[in-house]
Amino acid sequence: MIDTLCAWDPAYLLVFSDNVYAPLVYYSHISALIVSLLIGFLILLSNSRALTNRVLFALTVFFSTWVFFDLIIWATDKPSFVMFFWASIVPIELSIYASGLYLVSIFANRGKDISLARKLVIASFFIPIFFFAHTAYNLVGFDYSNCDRNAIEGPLIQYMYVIELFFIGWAVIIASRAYRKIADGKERRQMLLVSVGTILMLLLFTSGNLIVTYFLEVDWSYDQYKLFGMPLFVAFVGYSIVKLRTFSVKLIAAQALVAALAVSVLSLLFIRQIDHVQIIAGITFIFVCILGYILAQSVKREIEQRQRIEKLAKALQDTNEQQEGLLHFIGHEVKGFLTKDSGAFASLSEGDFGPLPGQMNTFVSQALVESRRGADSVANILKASNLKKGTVTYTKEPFNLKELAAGAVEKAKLAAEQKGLALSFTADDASYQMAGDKAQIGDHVLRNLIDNAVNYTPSGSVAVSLKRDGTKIVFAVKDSGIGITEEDKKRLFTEGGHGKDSQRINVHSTGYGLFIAKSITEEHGGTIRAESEGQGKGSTFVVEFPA
Amino acid sequence: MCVSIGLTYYYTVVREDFTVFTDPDAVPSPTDFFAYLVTTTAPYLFPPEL
Repeated sequence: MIDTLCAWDPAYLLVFSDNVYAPLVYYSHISALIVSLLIGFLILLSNSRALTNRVLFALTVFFSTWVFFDLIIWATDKPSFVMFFWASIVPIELSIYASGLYLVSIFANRGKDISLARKLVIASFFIPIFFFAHTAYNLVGFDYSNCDRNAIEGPLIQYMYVIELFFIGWAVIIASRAYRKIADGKERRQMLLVSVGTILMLLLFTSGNLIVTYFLEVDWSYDQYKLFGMPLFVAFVGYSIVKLRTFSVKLIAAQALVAALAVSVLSLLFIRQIDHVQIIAGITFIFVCILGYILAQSVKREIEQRQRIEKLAKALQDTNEQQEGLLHFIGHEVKGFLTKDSGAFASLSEGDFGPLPGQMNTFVSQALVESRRGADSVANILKASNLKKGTVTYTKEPFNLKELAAGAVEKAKLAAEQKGLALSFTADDASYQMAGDKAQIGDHVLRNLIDNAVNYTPSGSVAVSLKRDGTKIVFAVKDSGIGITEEDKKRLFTEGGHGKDSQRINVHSTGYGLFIAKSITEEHGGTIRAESEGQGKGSTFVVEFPA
Repeated sequence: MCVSIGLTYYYTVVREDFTVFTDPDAVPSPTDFFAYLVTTTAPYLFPPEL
């Protein structure tokens, strides 16, 4: 154990003690540490798979570790701690430079990773560091001559300074070559901003080391100014994020920048003495100006984008309304013509103008069926449009759902018999009295589901059932038809939502029938759903009304 | 890096195996160190006979 020759205060939580006599130390360290970690985590969380984001995160972690270790050296009262953290800083410091060089290289390589050979070359510079970090080649010893808690730096640290300068030079060459090579303007500006930010940060770091070591007679109280390279780096990266969407960070970048601003201002509160207040206030002012400008740009762009989107949405809505109006008009006109046509064909078919010759009779009968079907299709589309607009009115009258369902089954019997389907209807003796729009439920819900079941069942059976389940009336149509896939289920009740094979089986399907059935059911406080085990396995449509 | 830092921890914190300079005159400065490095390596890089 080394005897304590100097009156040092013990450190609380490793970093808080009165040994830190320069008030700027906490400000420079804590603000740089928080800003660094904040930007690192923000970028990693926004896209942890991107290589650029991972490397930038690594850089900020190395930087934060360096800052934390450095603060311990300032605050500790133990020579062994000074020696350990000072010596450990060496591999960490070189890692900051290596990750900075790696980051610039990736941006210069347009986001792609660099070759293994280049990575090995960068890594090879670490070999002496790893071998000699724990020896006297790194730190010659502890300077106990003046109670300043200094370690005597050895040749390994001189080597580190040289490599740092070499890495900076290498990064400058890579960035300037890439600037001439990258043709895409946005990529070039991204590369330039990140590279200039990184290189400036590293230069400030190195100049801090070299100036203190060789020109200020190892007065480390000036060394902390180099840490302001990190806010500078964050400013460049932040500008790149906001302006060019670098690192895939979006709106959250603005929030992080606000947090960074808050941290920089809040850090002022931790300074107990005001000897350096002009310097601190000046640095904070510059930092606030840079981040404030970035924020203002970010907000301006967001507002412009929102205004553009709102304008486009309004134009789209107007166009939709115009088109809907036009379609409604056309629909009404077509429906009118088809209704008139079917009326004329019905008169001819029923012999109002005398008996028709054999071939003509068949032709008129077919035309009557087709024009009625056409009128129904147009009516369905118009109905769906009215339901969507909320212009459909409902009557409310008491009726018996069992009678309505039996009637609907009866009307579908002919079509089922023609296809050879077994159509059945079962209901117990419970009361099926309910209130609502009898015509709409009968035509657009019950008949729609039964007709669909008949249309989409090539062979087999269609079973219609009605039962009471507590306070609910459950109407179900079960068929052995084509079934419904999981994909089809999602769009089954949507406007114009066809099943994948529905038009192959029923060419006249408009895709509006189930949308109408669902809208009317829900208007009556009920629910509708489709169940099927899959394609070719039949399906069951279940409607539940409150009794 | 972990091994390197681990070894450093062992020698500095656990064993406290480092030189302590109490005499100010005995403390080598980095510039002295640099000068020493230059003077000792220069003869090999630039032999006097050249």
